[in-house]
Amino acid sequence: MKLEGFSHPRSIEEALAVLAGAPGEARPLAGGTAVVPMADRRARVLVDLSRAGLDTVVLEGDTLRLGATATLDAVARGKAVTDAGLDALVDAAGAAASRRLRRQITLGGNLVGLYPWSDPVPALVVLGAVVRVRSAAGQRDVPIDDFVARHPSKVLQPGELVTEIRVPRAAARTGSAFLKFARSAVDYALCGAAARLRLDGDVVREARVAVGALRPLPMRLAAAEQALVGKAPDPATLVAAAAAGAAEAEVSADFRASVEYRREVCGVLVRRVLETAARRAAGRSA
Amino acid sequence: MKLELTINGVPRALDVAPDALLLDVLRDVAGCKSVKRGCEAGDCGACTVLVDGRPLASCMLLAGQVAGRSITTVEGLGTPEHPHPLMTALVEAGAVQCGFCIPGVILSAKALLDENPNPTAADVREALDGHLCRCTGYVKQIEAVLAAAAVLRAGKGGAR
Repeated sequence: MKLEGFSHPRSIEEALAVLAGAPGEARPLAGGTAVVPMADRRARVLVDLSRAGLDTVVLEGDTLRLGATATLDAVARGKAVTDAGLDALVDAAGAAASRRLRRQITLGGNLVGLYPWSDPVPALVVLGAVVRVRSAAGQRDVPIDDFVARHPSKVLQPGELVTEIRVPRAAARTGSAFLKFARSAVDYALCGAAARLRLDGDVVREARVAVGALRPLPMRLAAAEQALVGKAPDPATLVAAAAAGAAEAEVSADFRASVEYRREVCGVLVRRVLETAARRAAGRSA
Repeated sequence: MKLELTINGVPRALDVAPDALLLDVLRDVAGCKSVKRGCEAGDCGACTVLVDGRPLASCMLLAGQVAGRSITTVEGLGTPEHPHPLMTALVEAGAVQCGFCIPGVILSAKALLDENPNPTAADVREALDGHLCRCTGYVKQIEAVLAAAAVLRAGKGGAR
C-alpha cells in the first residue's frame, strides 16, 4: 500500500476517530522503530500517536499507569516505576537495545509487536500487567497472559488501540528481576528471564517465572514456580527450580543459538533472576 | 507532501515524499551533510540528530513523524571558524580520525550536557552508548566530553 501522509492526533479520542474513519488504510505509529525500516508500511495514512497524550508514567494508588507511547527510556528511569517497586520492569526496559533506541521504542509498540526477543514482555508477564484496549466504541482490559497467549494481532480488532499498560504495585515482601543474555550489548536477547517472588515469613508464598526469546512467544515456567512455593528461597531450592524451568521451557533454534545452548543459558538466567528477586523481596518489609 | 519543521533554528517548509526518512530529508533536501548514513538500522549512531533536544536515530524516523518539531544537526552548533566547545575538545583530545561517527557523538554529548552540565565519566559513557567508532576508540571521546563540560561550566566557550 502506498503511503500518502500522516495524521498527528492531539488526543486519544481524535486518534481513535481517525483509525475508525479509514479502516484498513490508517495504521497507528508509535516510536516507529519496527514500521520505519519496512519496505511496505502497509498504510495509506500513518497515525502518529506521539502527540496524543499517551506517554503517562504515573503511580495512582496501587496501580502503575504506563501510557502506550511511554518510551522504554522513560519507563526505565521513571520514578513512579521504582516507587511502585517494579524492579523487573526497570531492569527489562533498561536492557533493550541502546539508550538512543530506548528513547524511541515505546512500551505499547513493543508489546503489540510481541517480538520474540522482547525484554519488557516477560517482565510484564511476571508482574501481572493488564492491557487497556480502547476503540471509538469503548474500552476493555485484557490480562497480559491472555493478551500474549491469544496474540495481540488476534486480540486487537480493527479500530482498537492499546492505550495503557497497568501494573499492580509490588506487595510487601515481594521482589522481582529481569536478566537477558545476548551476543553483544545491542543484539536481541537469545534468552530473557523474569521472576517475581512473594515471601511469607521464610518461605515463598507466590512465584511467577517467565522466559522470552526462546521461542516465538514468551512462556511461563509452571514447574519452576511449583518448585518454589512453600519453600525457603535457599540456594538449593533456587537451583532446583531453575533446573525444572530449563527442562520444561519450549526452545527453538535459530542463527543466534542452538536449542541446547539456549536451554543451558535459560537455566543460568532463571537461577540468577530468582536469586535477585528473593534478595529484593526480603528487603521490602513494608 | 509538505513538511514544516525547524532545522537548526530556521523554520522550513520542504517538499518531501511521504515515505522519506528524516536522514534523507536532512541530507538531500535540507543539505545537512553532517548527518551520516551508517547502518540504517539504528545501531551505529552516525545519523543521530536532536529532535526537540533528544538524540534520536534519523534513519529510524520517517520525516513525517517530526512535523512541527525542532531538529538540530552539527551545522547548527558551530562552524570551522566558530566551533562549539565540544568540537574543539574532540579535536584537541585526538578523538577524531575519519570523523564519520563524530557528528552523532557531538549531538549525544550536547544533549547530555544540556541536561547535566557536570557529568561523570560513567554519565558520558552512557550518553555515548550506541555510537560506534572504528578509528580512535572511546576513551579520548569520553575525555573530550568531560573537558568540554568543564569549559562550558567555566563559561569560556561562548554561549551555545
